[in-house]
Order: sequence, then C-alpha cells, then structure tokens
Amino acid sequence: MTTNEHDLKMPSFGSDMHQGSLTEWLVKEGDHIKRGDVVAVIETSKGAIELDIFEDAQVLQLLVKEGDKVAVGEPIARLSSATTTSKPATTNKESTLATPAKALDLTTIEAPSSQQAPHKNFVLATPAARQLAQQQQLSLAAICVNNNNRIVTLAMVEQASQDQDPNSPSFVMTETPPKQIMPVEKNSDLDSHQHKQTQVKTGFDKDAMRQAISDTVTRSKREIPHYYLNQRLDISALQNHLQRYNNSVPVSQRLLLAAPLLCAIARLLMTNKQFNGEYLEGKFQPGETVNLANAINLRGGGLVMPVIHDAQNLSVELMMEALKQQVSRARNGSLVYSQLSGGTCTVTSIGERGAEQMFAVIYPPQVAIIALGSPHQEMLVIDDAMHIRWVINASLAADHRVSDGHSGARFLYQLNQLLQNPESLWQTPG
Amino acid sequence: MNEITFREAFKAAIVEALNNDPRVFLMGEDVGNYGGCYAVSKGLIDDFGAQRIIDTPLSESGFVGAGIGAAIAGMRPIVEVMTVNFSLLALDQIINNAATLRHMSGGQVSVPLVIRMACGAGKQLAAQHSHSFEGLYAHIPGLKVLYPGTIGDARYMLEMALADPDPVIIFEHVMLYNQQASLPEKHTVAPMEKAVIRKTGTDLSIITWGGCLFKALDAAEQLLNLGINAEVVDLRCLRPLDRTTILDSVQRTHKALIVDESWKTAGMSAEISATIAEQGLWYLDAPIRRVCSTEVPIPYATHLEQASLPQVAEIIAVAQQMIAESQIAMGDKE
Repeated sequence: MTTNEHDLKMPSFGSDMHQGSLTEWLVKEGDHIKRGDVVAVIETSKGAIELDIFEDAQVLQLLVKEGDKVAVGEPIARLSSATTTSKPATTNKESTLATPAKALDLTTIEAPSSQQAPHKNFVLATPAARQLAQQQQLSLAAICVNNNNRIVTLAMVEQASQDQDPNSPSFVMTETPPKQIMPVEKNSDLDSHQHKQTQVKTGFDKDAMRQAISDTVTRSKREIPHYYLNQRLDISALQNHLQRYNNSVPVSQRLLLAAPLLCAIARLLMTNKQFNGEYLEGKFQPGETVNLANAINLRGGGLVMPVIHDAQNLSVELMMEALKQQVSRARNGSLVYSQLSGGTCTVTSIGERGAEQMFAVIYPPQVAIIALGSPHQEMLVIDDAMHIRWVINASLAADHRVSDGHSGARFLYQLNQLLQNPESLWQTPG
Repeated sequence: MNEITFREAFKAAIVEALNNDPRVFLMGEDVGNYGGCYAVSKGLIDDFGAQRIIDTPLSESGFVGAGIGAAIAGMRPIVEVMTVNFSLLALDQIINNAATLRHMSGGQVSVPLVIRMACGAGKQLAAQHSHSFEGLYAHIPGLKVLYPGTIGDARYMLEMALADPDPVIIFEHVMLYNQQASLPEKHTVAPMEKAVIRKTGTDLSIITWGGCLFKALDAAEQLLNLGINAEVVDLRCLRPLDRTTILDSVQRTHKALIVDESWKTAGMSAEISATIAEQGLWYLDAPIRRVCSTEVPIPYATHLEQASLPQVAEIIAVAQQMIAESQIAMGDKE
C-alpha cells in the first residue's frame, strides 16, 4: 500500500470567509487520525468551529501554531494517508464551496492595509525574513496574516519559529553585554503581546459576524435574481400525528415540529433538483445529496447555518438528534467544520412567536431558501366548509437563473401534499 | 591620560613626520607665516624654517602640481589645500596626474604625495568653503582617501599615508579641530585601509566616517537609552573601501543606516548602499536608509546650515523607525 502525502488546508466555512485563526490543535505530530476525528479548533467570524477530517491519515507536521491567522487554502498541516481512499473530501468541499479561484489561490492574501502592496502571488518580506522562513520551512503567508498583513521581517519569523518549537533556544541577544540588555518597558510590551496572542478567544465576534452576514446578503442580493413564492402549508395532520407520537415516547425522545418538516423538505429536494445545489462560475451544479443548511439565530444576535448532511436519508428521529446537536453547538460556538460546509439548500424558521410570513435571502452559492413562518391557526375553507386549521406560511426564494416560478410552485404544492400524509415521514426513507 | 585636540593631533603628526624624515615638507596657502588657515601648522615655520614649511601662491593647480613633481623626484611632500572646495582648482593635477602616473608609466613612476584638505560644514563658511567631496575623490582609481574621525586616526594616519607609495588624500573636518579626546596608544590604531567598529551593537549598523562619526556615536548612545543597540562602523578610508567590515556588520545586525555629510545623489552613501545590496541583500531585514545633507549648496545662515546637515536627532529618528518597522506587530492586533 502506498502512502500519499498532502497538505491539510485551512478550509472555507463559507464564501464569506477569507481567513481563520487556529485556536487549538487537538492532534500532535505523529498522531494517527480517523475520518471524522476533530483535529483542530478554528476561530472564524462564525465562531469557534471544530475542524473534522474526511480521511484516515497520519499527521506528519503541524505547519501553523496555535493563535496563527491563516488564509483560506493555506496549508495548516502535512498529512500522510493511504492512497486507497478517494480524493480527500476537503479538497472537494473547497472547490465547490469557496469563492471561485480566490480561495483556491494558496498564496493570495487579503491585503487591506497599506503595508502589503497588492502583489497577488508574492508575500512581501525582507530578504532576511524570507531566507529564515525558507530554512525553517515556515509559511511566509501565514506569518504575514498573523502580523496584520505587514511586511514580514526577521523578528516575525523568529517569533513564529519560537512559537512553533517551545524548546528552541531564545534568539534574543545571547551575545549581548549586560548593559545592552533591552530595557524593561520593551520586554513588558513583548510579554503583553505574547499573552495577547496566546489568549484563546471563545464565543463569537459579533462585529465580525455582522460584517460577514452583511457581505453575504449584499452579494446575494446583488448577484442572485431572486423570485418569491408563498404557500400556506396545512400542518394540522402533521401536528396531530406528532402529538400522538410524542405521547408514546419518553420525553427525551420527543420531536419538535421542525424535525418532520425538515425531513419533508429534504426528501422533496431530491426530486426538485433545481433548488438543491450550487451556482458557481456561471453554472448550476445540482447537489448529489441534500445537505440542508438550517439557519439558527443566536442569542445576542447573529446567524449560523449549520448543515445537516444527507438530510434526505434521515429518519425523523435522526433529524431531531441532528437538530439538537446543531443548536447546542451553534449556541455555544463549537460547531464542527463538516457541520458548516457543503450546504445545498437552506431552511429558515421564524419560530413559534415570530411573524406569520418571511421572505429570505438566498445564501450563495446556493440557489434556494425556504422560509417557514410561525405556526398559527387560520380559518380554512375545505370541502365547502369552514375549518380551523394549524398552518404555516412557507415561502420559497429561488434563483431565477436556475429555476422558474412554475417549478417553485410545484415544489411548494408537493410539500403541502406530503404534509397531509405525515405517517410517510416516519417511515425510514430509502 | 591627557586629552588633546584634533588640531594638536594633526600638528603632532606633521611634526613627527618632519622630524623623522628629511624628505618630508609642508606646502600650501598660509601654512607658514600665518600658521595655517585652521592653525594646524602654527609655529612650525619657526622650528623647521621656510625651506620645509612653504607658503605658496594662491594657485592650487600650481602648488599641487609642484607637490606631485617633488614626490616623483623622491621627496615626501605634505600639501595642504585650505578647503576641499578649493581643491577643485587642482582636480586636473590630482586626477589626471597624481592618480594616473603609476599606471600610465607601467609602474615606473610613483607619486608618494599626501594632500591634506579641510572640509565639512558647521562654521557658517557657506557654500564655497563647506562641502564634502570625499566621495568625489573616492571615485578615482589611483587615489587613497582617508577621513579620520577619531583622535587616534588624526594623530597616526599621516604616518601611514606618508609610508604609502601612492597619492593619499586626508580630509580634516573643520568641526573636529577643537574637539578634545584622550590619545590612544599608537599600536591600538588600525591600519589605514581598515574600517573599525567604534561601538558594537546588535540592532542596526550605523555606517559613517569623518565628521559624522561623533554624531553617530552620540546617537547610538541615546538610542541605547531607547532600547536600541546600534553598532557604529567608522569607515576611516573611503578608497579602498573596506567592504568586508561593512558586510560583516550588516550580516549581524540586518539593518544598515548610512550617515554621510555629503548629498545622497551619486554620493559615497549610494556606493555603500549598492555594496550592501549587491553582497548583503539576503541578510537585510529592512530597507537601507541614509541620513545625508539636504541637496542644496550648504547655506550660510546658521539655522539653515544646521537644518541642511545630518543631525543626531535625525539619526535617532530614522533608527527608531527602522527598528519599529521590523518589530513584531504590537498593539494593532485585534
């Protein structure tokens, strides 16, 4: 069996992400890791996210240190894996998720400051810094990002080198006569700086998240020609069935309305492919599976979109489990990479005390979002008689480049029909 | 140890040479009866007589040419040119004759001539008496160019220059004449073509010579209080240039700041910068910086004159900036 050495790269958790901070390594060099293992915690504007791995591999080398800011696509670790496994899933995710070309360009660094000139493929560094980084096999790009995109100097590389190997001797002036020792105030500056750098930030950066949301919705509204459809979903039958089910199981296993609703949507998306997939580089790529993103509102503001993978295959019970885990992880900011990546369609629910109707903004590069208003009772005319029914106003916002109103209307109609036969949702799909 | 002035050191060197070698004589404008424009040769005519302390007509081309002829004929003349600006009148003799004759004669003719020139600004002598043209002379193959910036070099470089078989120009900065320092032992003075590190340091190399050396050392002292440990390299000899010492220093400190009382454009500082860029680039951790005179003829008015020259405060400011730029990001991190 041959082995395959390759880089583990800073993943993109969304098209709005340009860099992430490696908050914590959960593996060390030499470790053998299995598919699904969490290897690191990455801090982004979406919060601290656990990076799980898509393959069985051995960690050869950790290329960045804790606290480093790393651009998306930049290598963070060197892995060795058996070639019998298929191409690492991370690579696939990146190529479909990230902003085209930009995030894949390994050496591209966001250079908002005046310090780094806009050389697309060249990290500005002093010759001495460049040489040392090369000798120590440190990434100039990572050091640059870690120092606010400033021109990389020797001191920055030495710092990175020391941080990488805590046992290495200090570079600081071993030859210096006593009277030339740096004065105290400078040392204390350094100390506080190092302290700052090693502090692990937890929770979410609200301003950064607001900015990320702002960037995303602005891009969405600018690029995606939305159209909107509205459908009243009669959920009375579903409610009844759900209540009977919940009465028959222990409290811990009870389901929320969201679970069967998401199951219904996910299964329908498998046959309504125009709403499930990604629009990239002028082309729509239908999803092979339904990775249903679920917009979760955070206490204190902000949104995260954790993804339930292969949602069309989940039973209502498993869907409930996935939801519970997602919400708790989202709210304490410990989402795992795979839970934030690869979404092919999004569902957003206003909740029980919210508005009756919502029209949502598509999360690019997805092509549709389904918004569910709050469940409420309405008077409906059925078979020439008035009935008080539980309803949800569902809306579909879809990308007109990919689909037309007619197919959108059919999708919503099918959804309503499916909900009239709730027993089928409890059957294991497949 | 007794302190002496640079003037006394230069004078003692001439006296010693006159005493040790009968071939040595001093020649120039007002060097005899007047005692020298800057009083370096004051009283020498009484001790050595008008045969060896020769007052010349006001013709730089004439008496420098006479000095070249005397040197060819076997004498060891010391020619004093009142200021470097006046030496431009003797450029033909210095560049076309003194510097070339060994090469043009296939080694048959040597010109063991020493030319002393006062130079530099700071005494409100304006644009025709204050300039720094050592870079211009350092450009010329066939010449050796010395610029003592310490009392030891002022005292002992003349002997080394007289011992050299080729024409040597010694610059004497006018602001140094009155400065005092204790005279070191002769054996501690380095050979004339060797640059000397006057202060060791780790953070940056200040490369300078002559009249700017004391400013650089003053700046380095103050920088130490600011937490910056600067090394000060005294070039002493601008031709041949001790590139090895420059590069060794920059390889250790990774930063070069050149202080030159001349102008930047096409000057000595440019040559040093080019040397570092050519041979020391991979060791640099900051762009090379230069503190030089403003690109104007040196002004007469004292505030303008001072403003036009490299000053200690500017050296400190530029050094601090170089260090700040290369330090790890602080404060501005989120």
